[in-house]
Amino acid sequence: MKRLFQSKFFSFLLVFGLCLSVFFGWVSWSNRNFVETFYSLYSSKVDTRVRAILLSDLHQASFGENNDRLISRVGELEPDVILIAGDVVTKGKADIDYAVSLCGQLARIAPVYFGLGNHENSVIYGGDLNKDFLEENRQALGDDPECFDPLIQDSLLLDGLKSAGVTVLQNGSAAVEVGENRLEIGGISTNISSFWPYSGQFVSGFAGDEPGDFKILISHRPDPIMRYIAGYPIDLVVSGHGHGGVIRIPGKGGLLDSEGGFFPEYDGGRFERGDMTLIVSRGLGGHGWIPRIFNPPELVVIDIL
Amino acid sequence: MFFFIDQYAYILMGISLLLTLCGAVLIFRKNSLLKVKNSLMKFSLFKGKFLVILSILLVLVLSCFMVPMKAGLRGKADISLNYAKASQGLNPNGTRYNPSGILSPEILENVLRKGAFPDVTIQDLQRVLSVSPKVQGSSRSEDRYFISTQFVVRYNGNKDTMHLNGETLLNLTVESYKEWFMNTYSDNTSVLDLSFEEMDQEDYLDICEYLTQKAKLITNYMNRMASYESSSFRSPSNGETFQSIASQSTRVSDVMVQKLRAYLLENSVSKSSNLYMSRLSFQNVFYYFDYLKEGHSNQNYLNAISMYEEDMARIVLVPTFDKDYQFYMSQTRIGIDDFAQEAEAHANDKTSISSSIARNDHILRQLSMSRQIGGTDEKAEQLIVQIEDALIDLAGKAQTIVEEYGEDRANQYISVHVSSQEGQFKSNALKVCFLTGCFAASVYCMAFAVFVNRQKQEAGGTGGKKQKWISPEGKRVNAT
Repeated sequence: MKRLFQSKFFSFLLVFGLCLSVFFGWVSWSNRNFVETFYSLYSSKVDTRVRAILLSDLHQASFGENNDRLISRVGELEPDVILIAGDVVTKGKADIDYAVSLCGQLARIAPVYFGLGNHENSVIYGGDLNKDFLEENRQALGDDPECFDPLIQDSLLLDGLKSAGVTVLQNGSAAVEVGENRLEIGGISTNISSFWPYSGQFVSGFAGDEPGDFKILISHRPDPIMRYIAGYPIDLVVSGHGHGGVIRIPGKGGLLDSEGGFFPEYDGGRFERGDMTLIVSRGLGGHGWIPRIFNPPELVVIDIL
Repeated sequence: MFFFIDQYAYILMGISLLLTLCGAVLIFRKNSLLKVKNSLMKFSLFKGKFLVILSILLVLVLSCFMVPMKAGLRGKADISLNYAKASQGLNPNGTRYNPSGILSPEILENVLRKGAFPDVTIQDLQRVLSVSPKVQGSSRSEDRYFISTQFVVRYNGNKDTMHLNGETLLNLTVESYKEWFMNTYSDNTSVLDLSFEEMDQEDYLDICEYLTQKAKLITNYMNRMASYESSSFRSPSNGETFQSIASQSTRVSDVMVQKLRAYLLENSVSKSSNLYMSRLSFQNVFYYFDYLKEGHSNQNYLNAISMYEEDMARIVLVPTFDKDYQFYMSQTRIGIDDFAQEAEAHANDKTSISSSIARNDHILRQLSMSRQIGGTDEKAEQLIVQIEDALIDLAGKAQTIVEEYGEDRANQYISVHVSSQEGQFKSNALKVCFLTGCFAASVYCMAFAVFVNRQKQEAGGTGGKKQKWISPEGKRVNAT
């Protein structure tokens, strides 16, 4: 035994273990502290500055006790609207109280608009809103394939969010007056396979109506937007879903694609297509066993000028 | 802490240098070169290698944290001015461009407000931010004069701002400046805020004049934008161009207002015909005096021309140079030309006044037939509302297109770019490698010095005491 402790192998194991502990200690620390990313958008549709804060992919992460640090920082930033791009909870271990409490606190700061994510969809409808799932339930949907209310299996989360003062947008939109500005905020949560015909009609109408209003679309996934409606007259699209590629390779971007591939195209940041701006959040949390590396949680602040 | 982060590289380099120097002194102080060479062959047997590797790894890990943290305390952002007058050192409106405005208190206050930075003041930001031209000219000779259109904003953090993210701070600074620049140099469309309240008390024919003026205001504004700015710009929201709005506005004044005027005159409509008629009669008296005056002036000039025409030179040629310094004879104006021009101007004015008198006479004739004493006319009011609506709609379209054009152009006026920390990965990695490499070399140097001296002590013996000895073959033997 003494020989083992004196052996080179043990020494290197010790050193390696020490380095690994330091590294994962740092990863754990960096996963508990969020960074802020500021974006500025210029539009003639707004007369006075509008500030929107985007939160996405929390996956029940906590920043301080009861998310105090996150809430107080959001309050300090004085948003006019708060946009949530889905995945506040995690399917399989969904903590409804967490989502309701967080959103309730946010709603006391500014109006909250919630676009559902695939995890919320699983909790509410019993599955992600992909084409197979929706085709299976086509009959239940009836004449309106874009209204998913007949598929609701568990309304606890939806009811909780609504009671907390949150506007949940599922193939729907809401008009908001911010000072002298009029915003139109819409939300979808379908994916590439189900976008047509389960969200497309709503998005077309949303883009075409009220051309003078500044339009914001919350789409949990960025891919269907960029594939099908890039360049539509929607001023701003906000998304999440990819967690910034989970592991970020400096100089290269996100490594892991949420769909199982590598180096996702929309891993985070700002993308322009015609008059449309897409802002993809790297998210605030994560799920699964792979930690976020070189990818601190991100709170997105968007100033519309 | 700030000092340690800021000076980490220098501290580590100092430690490395000290270790190397101490090591070198210890190695070469009492050892021959041959002995050092021999010891070098046996260095692989050094017992403290684990400690050496551990210290190097610790420094590597520490550097992996410290170097990016130090990099976070530094940063730069580029601002480029992309409009034509920038190369002359001017703002888009022709006033002198001042780069120190990038860090003006107004901008920094906006940065603090936008970022909601706790415990940071404008003075703190002024201490850590600086602006300089990207390419610096010189006033020593004319060849080296250079007016920069690109500026670099640098962030050099200190202990008061070390809790801030440099990239975020720079991003907010340049974006705040861009916002201010766009607001300051975008077109002022307040002239297109039409109000018709003040014409309520006017008589109908005066209202016609007022509406015509408003329509002309829009027409002139749009024509000016089309001529001096862009004739091809099309509004993304309503599809109009400056020219299309100008022609719609002309249609309002030429068709809709004329239709109203025709209705008023044909039907002798007036809110107070007696008052209006007496005003026109009074106006005509003055017009008549002006008419006589212009007629006499015209005649005087014609007389002068006939008096001096034969005596004055028809053409005067003046020797002069053109811009290429080529000699030529320039034909210049002479007195008789001036007389002719003045005579023509007075004749034109006379005609114009005559036409005004005729128009007033026509109105007087029409209104004198009016049976209505006063008050409002329903159809006239209806037509006025239609014209007002049309003008408000046009003014709205005009404001939209001007703002969209201004936004499009102002967006191009200035572009900003912040160097991201993620993009500094390569340079940070190189720094970490370099620092760790230097430290590793110095630690190895020190370790070798310890090894050489220990060997020497052991070789020197301690008076028959049993010692462990390492043979040249590298085997441990007991020696007495």
